[in-house]
Amino acid sequence: MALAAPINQPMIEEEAEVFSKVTAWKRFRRHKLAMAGVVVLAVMVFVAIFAWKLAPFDPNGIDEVHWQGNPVPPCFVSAAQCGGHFLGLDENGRDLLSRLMFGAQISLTVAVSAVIMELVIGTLLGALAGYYGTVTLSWRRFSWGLAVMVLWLAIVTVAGAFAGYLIARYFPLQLHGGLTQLIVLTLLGAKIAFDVVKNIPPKSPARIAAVTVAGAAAGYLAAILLPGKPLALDVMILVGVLYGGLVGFQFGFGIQRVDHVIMRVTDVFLSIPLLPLLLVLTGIVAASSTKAALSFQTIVLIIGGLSWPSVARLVRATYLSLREREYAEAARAVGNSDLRIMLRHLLPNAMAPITVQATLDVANVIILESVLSFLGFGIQPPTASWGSMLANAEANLQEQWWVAVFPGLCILVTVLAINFIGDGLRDALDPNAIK
Amino acid sequence: MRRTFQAVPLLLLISMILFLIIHNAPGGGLGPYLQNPHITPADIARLKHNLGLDKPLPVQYVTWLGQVLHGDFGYSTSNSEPVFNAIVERLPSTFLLMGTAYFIAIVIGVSAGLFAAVRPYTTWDYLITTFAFFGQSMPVFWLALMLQLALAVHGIPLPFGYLLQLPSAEISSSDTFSLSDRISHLILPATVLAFLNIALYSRFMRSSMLEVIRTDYMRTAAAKGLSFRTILFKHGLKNAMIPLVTVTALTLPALFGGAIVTESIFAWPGEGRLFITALGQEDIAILLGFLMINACLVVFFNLFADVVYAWLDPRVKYE
Repeated sequence: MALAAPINQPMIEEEAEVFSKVTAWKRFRRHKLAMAGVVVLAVMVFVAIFAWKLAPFDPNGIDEVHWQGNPVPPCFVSAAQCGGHFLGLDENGRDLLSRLMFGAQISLTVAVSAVIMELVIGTLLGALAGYYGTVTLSWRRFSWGLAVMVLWLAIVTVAGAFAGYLIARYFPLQLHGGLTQLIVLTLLGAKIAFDVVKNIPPKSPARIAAVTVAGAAAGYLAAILLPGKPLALDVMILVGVLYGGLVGFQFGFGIQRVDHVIMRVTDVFLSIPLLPLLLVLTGIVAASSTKAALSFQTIVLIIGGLSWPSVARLVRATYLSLREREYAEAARAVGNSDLRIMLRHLLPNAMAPITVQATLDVANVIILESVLSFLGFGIQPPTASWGSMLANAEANLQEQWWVAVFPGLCILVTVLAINFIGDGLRDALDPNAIK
Repeated sequence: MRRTFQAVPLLLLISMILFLIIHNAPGGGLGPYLQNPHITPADIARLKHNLGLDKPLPVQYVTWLGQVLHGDFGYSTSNSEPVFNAIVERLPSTFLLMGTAYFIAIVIGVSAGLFAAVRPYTTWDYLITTFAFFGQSMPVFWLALMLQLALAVHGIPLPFGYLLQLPSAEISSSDTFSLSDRISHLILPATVLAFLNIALYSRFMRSSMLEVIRTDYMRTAAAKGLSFRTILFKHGLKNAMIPLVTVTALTLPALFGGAIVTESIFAWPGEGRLFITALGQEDIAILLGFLMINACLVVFFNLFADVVYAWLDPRVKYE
């Protein structure tokens, strides 16, 4: 009977060895596919770093001699025709191999930079939420709090925006200061407002009034100071929402509930599907001036700025359990500051799940970037990335199949390697992994 | 019940953020008109007035919310059609594609996962697991290109895209309907769309089934002398499917987003194509409608997954 074997297997593979970096590395090495992934990825990274040295041709240069408008196939298809271009020429007569090498540079850099950005934002917010989050959450209290928050947002936004609008309309103090002044003044205003609000007892009408006035003032300040936007209601509302949300939360929950603000924002971003939102944002940027505005940095900012919620949620969950450990308590008892406990004591212990998630996210971002570029909303030609090289491959798929095959193969192999590494890391770093 | 109420403020917040993002588009949704030299500033102003784009943003937001509640999601800025109509018109073809892909993914994914789970750590298991890794690492649009190439090289005449280029609303009533024609058009895009989910479901099914196989009640069933088939399907599969239901519900909205890529490659006249066209025309009303509906799907299916999970698994209770 086929079922007998698995039933007789031990329930959990007992790990007698003490968890440490050394044993983790030992276990990782046992994972053959992950080791293969490391080798493949190392080669890719090496090629990407030294593309300028290794590439046989200029990635953007057209080979006028061999490119007469006819397809030039790879050497292993026709050695006579290839003219030294090992993987042939692309649809514009550029050396495919060199473009692949420089494409590796762009694709990998975009992925790694976006993931670093995502990690910084996600870890910071997740750590804050997890460390200050409440242990047991009463569902009733929670939904009441949520209702209070929404009401609060509505009050501050509407009142702030319209008060600001009225003031600006009847007292048109259009200062048109620079962005620096705006930031300094807003921070100063916020500081004063907080000091005032702090001394008013919570949940009193006076507090509501003070906060509303402060929100309105902040919105008004922002609206008159932002260059080129004399009466920008949207700026007022944005400031009002941010400000109102912040102060409103303090009102509704007290500072302990910073957890909820962060997790609500996380929920919102997790509920908006990533790919369409990315496309809309890159589309907006592309429309704002030329398509060239969609630089490498913009794409990193957009991808990294939108993909942090999953990290935040993970880090929060980890921190929620870590802060209850004895060593965290000991660190608190000795008198370490919260920030120090968060960064020096808890972060190293939260690194395992973060590392796994980050690895898998690099793979995801490589695919995301290639989809964006393929659809024409990512890296713009003539810059080579694996995705942008595929953008024009569909038109002459049959005559120049190599243009379509090789970039995609690079994506597949790299992403596969990273996924294997991620899987190996998960098994190696999780002391109670059941395979 | 509480969860349902909680979804309302969440959706409101989402709509607010989406609205802010989209209405900060530089062209203000009239990009293509601004670039057209034949359109005078007066025309633009009139257009703005007609579409209500000259009002302050909060007023626009409230108006839009009202439109959403009336079920028309505002009017397209490129052809003044109600957004809801434009979206509903293409729903049948997208649902056809999504439904087929979903069906393929569940059938293949579950059977592959089950097949691997009853013979763990054998060659078959490793093959299926490795395949699942490939599926997760595959850039979907490239898979579509490669399938196209392979079919072209071998001369298999599987058509690409929809044969009937009419609005999809007419498809069901069309007299040129033919099942074989429909299937031949459907098979490639549906397979490509399902690919990622096949991999996902098979991995999930495998681990879920492995966990169930190790439980006491499975041991008891085996000890009672029940047949292998009864144990596996009646005791095992039923329990192993519970977490899978959640996962399939959670990944369903992703199919909607994934349709953007698949539909644009296969020229499938569905929501994804609508989205890409609207993106090219900077039609903010349609973009907003698409994003909002997609976000609603996510929120709804999250809720749905929780409810179904609690209903299927009596051990889970929500306060």
